[in-house]
Amino acid sequence: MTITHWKIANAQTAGRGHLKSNIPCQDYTYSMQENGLTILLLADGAGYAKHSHKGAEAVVKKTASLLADHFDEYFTAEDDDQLKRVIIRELHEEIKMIEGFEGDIKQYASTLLFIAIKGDQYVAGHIGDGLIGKEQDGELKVFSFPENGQFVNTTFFVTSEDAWKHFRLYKGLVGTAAGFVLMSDGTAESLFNKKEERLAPAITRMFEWLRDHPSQKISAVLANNLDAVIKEQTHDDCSIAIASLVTLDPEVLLAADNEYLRDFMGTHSRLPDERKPSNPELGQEIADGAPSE
Amino acid sequence: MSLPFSPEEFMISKQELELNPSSRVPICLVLDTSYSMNGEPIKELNNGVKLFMEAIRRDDIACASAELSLVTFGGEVKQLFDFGSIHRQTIPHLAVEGVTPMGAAVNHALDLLERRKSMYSDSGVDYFQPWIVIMTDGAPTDDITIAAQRTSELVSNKKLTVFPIGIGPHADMTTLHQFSPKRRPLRLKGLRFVEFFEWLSKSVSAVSQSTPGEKVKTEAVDDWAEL
Repeated sequence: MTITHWKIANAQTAGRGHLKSNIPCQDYTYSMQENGLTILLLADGAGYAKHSHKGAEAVVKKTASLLADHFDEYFTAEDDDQLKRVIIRELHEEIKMIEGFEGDIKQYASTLLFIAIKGDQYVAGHIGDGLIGKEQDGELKVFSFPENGQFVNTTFFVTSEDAWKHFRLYKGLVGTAAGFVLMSDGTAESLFNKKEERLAPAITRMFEWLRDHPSQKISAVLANNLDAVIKEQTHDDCSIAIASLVTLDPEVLLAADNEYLRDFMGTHSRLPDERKPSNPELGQEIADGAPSE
Repeated sequence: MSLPFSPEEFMISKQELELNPSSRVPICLVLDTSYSMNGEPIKELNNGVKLFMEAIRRDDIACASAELSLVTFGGEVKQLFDFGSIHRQTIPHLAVEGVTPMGAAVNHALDLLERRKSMYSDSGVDYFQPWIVIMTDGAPTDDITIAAQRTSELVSNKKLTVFPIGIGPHADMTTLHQFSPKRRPLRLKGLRFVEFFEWLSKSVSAVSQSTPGEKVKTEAVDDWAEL
């Protein structure tokens, strides 16, 4: 008998262009585990939009809450177009609730990428550029491609007209997938070969790191790699969120140290907004993606 | 602050990454070298083009992104160079000659652009919205109807930006406007080619650093344009 569980890590960093002009990081990532649900989220705020860093954070946290509360409903929903409209409407309402909201949701524009896994089921979504990848049967594959306009500096946002038409919603069974990765377009410059449509071997290494080490540590490792390596190939902000499936013999788990067990139990993660960790004493803030500048 | 891990142990190497070519900014200069440009105008135009290419070469990001093609119309249409890296292109010396086949020159520039766009798509190279700069000091001596239709259609579909620039008092601004339904033609202040090309190089630099959704702000044009 073996035991499997998902581990999560995420990070983001301000790009060289934004550091130079003193603009905050407009990428926001979040990952969480609660009640058997594992969720990765990422949003990349639009360069033109004054408050896109706030918009990115708001849509990520709201989407996390929606998935935590409605995963089963979303998974079984038959009318996907209706579901997309409902989620977009919720996100627009959330943006309007941002403190000091200035009246134009386009000033809070961002992309959105997420995947939620519960048991052997998943619900994933993607609006705009950036990319979702997966590791399956030892191979890296693109799960959801970037959607740009005709030119490289155009894409679609949560706040775009008819955003639901560009909202790619995926539902299905995880099967033999053992890793998922979300990345913004800045990170994709280094981790995705556009011509060959191939994901970089570095992603496999990240999945392995996460399988072998505590989530908190690997979030710091990812942040360090974004800063030291990934950021060098782009001027844009860079962000990434990963989930790795770990398969263990029960004996290994019995001998594991406390930090590992906290990852296993999901108690390292926390929920956004007013939600509390399931065990406040063990709950530690690894998942919150406050932009590093 | 010390890291909670050994950076050497957890550092991705460049070999584990993918290398993508820089996103390209295709720019086509379509320049009037007809005989009426003789004297100071052609001298200043040469200075401006030289400055433009040198300025782009000094900006690492713009140099990796900008791809220039140069078509002149003086007597006949000449393609001085097809789209390519400014770093590898020779700064041209433009000489005046003959009449003003503007329509044929713009058509040729659009053909080069279409070919380049196909090459980008085939090679997986991302690109920004292409630019065509049309500069003239007079009126065309050929039919511009088809060329103007082509540019107008591309502009209307947001597939092209046209910068129509008139030089001196005899530039036919009405004709220039036909190439550009959105951006009205501007008349160069005196012979401020250098100032115009300086502005153009800064605009290319700004675009080459822009990210999705970003509205690129170009500098004011009052330094070189009559407003």
